[in-house]
Amino acid sequence: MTLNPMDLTGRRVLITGASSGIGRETAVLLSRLGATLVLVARRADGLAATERMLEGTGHRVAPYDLTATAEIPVWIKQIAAEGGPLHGLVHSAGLHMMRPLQVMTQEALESTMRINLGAAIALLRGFRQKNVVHRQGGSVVFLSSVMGLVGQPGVAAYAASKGALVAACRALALEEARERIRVNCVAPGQIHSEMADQQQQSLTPEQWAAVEALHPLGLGTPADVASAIAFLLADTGRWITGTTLVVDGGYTAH
Amino acid sequence: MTKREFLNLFAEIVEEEPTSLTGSEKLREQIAGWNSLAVVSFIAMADEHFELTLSPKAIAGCKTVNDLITLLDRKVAD
Repeated sequence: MTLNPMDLTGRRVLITGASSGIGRETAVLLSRLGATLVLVARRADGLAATERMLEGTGHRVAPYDLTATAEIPVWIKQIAAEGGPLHGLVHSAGLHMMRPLQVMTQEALESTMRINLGAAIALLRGFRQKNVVHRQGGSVVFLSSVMGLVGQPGVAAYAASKGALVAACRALALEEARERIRVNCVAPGQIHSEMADQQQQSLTPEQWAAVEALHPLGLGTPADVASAIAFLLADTGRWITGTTLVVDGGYTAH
Repeated sequence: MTKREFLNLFAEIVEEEPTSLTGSEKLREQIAGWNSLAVVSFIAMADEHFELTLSPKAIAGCKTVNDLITLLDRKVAD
């Protein structure tokens, strides 16, 4: 039998944002590595489409609106009670908006922070509960962004939320180490995805070309990010916690 | 939304005195603050106040402030 250090056979992983883009691609890759998935997003139809793309059996869809952060721990407990404990958690759902200061509102800032940061922390609160995380421990990956590490005009709210994840993951990793729960971030550069297409809609062709030119290896794909997430979830990441894996085609090397 | 209310919002984006705008101004020639970031702000404003998704291409085709108002699908009253 061929050695596969990223084998996830028998592991159960909950993934948010699973109806599109990086979340969907990650779900597909994890299933091909042997994991059983709990697919989370607001849109049930999008989740059903992702489920049809998965390999293996035992997966389930769990439509949920992550803005209801306070109820997340109880909801996750229910998922574990129904289908067994979880080994992994991926928070890939996120809100991106271009908001220059002139049109920034408190509401825009708060809604971005709520989904990108607030839901992440509530998910981990849920995940760490007794009878939810597997007794041997677990691995958690938050989707940050290069915008959490370097700047760009017009994205202060998004950048703040993604930078907050990088900082929070270090503290949470220390808090959860004795529970054998690892907490890490993946920080992608610009990739081709549905969310990126929406971003492209709000930029002029010249602005978009400038974004592209800043990635020495070109723009990435959701699969590039999925591989990094799988690496951190699997035993390949067993001595990695509190860190941010940058997957950006060289964007932040400048 | 009235045209005056729109012009007040627009003035905030391009950092002009609200009362100085009439709508007939030429964007590139007469509005110093009309730059790429202002285009992004205008798109965000159209989304928030009018629930419209505007393309940068359509905005690039506008020559005057009044042209921008036309893009807003008659949601700004004269």
